[in-house]
Amino acid sequence: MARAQAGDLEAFEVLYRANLGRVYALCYRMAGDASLAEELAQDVFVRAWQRLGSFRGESAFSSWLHPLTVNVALSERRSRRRRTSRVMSTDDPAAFERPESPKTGPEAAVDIDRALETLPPGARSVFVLHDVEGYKHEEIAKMTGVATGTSKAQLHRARRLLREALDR
Amino acid sequence: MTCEEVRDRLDEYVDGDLTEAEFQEIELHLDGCAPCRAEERQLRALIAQAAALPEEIQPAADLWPDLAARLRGPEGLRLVPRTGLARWMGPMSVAAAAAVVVALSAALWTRGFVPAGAPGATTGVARPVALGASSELLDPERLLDSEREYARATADLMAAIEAQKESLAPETRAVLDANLKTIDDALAQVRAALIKDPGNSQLAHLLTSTHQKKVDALKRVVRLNRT
Repeated sequence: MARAQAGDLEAFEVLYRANLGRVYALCYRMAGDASLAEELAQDVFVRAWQRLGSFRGESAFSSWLHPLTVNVALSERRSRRRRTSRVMSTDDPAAFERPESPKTGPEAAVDIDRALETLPPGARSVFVLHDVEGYKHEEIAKMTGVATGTSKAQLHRARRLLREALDR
Repeated sequence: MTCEEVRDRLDEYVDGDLTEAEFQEIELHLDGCAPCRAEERQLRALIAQAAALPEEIQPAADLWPDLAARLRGPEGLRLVPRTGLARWMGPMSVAAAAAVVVALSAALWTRGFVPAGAPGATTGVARPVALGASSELLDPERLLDSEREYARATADLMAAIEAQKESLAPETRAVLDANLKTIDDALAQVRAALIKDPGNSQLAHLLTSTHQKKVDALKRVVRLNRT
């Protein structure tokens, strides 16, 4: 760690390889897209490198990296939402609720990660943060900038859609 | 409670987010309603599946080569705001580095580059965002944005020079190349110093002003060649 903090890229590569699996898994589940998750995972490690000086070793590096990963994934979602809102004019919230078509065949029914890909982004983020990562609604509301009630509603929607997708 | 009302509250029921009275009410309903009980079991199964998902997934491709390339570029700058005196580069070294840039500027001037205000066509290159207060300079995102903008502006100017290279005298080109190398070396030194001392506002200023000098020098070449 000290070497990485001093600017040694090889030492940072060791940290990267030890933590990539967890970072990528979270990015993939939050983004619902493998190639976007690769970009996000890279962004996480770029930010980690830039901010490595603020890591004081009071917690494990993986614990320090976790909120950073959540922030990167949520920022991407916010900027994507801004881009989307510029080109979509619908006022029908249900249009955003409808899940996308399943991307793969029958295995989607038994693969929860694949089923996650089919969720609308807001519901997916809340499900991943609450049911996979164990955050509370109050924490999710703070991180995502929505009301606690909205977080609960998104979770309800995500669970319903996921059960439907897994039942198919 | 109707089945619909119970199903609407099942999430809160399984998450333990209900009051004792509400919990008991739903419990009572579930004890006598097989379809709602089945619904509750399905919900619990999903939550258990989600909690048991593997913590790690490896991406299909190796991300390190691209990531390492990014870290070696402007994004690799470490800019964590901090207080206190520079640890790595003392004030004297900063002054020495600043003197290098001043000398570079003077060298460019005396070797025949026309002043920035000379008449001639504009280059069409957007001026990178200037950073003012030291607090802004120490904002990592702003400084990185600025570095990217300067990189873009430099690339545009280099493309303009390349397009004019037929009309550029070989000796002018040689002087330009030599000076660009000196400026690039200075930039690399300042960048390396910033990586070791992320909170140093003098270094941050020096980095942006060196970039600006490079952009100004390139603009002069483009203008000189067009007039």
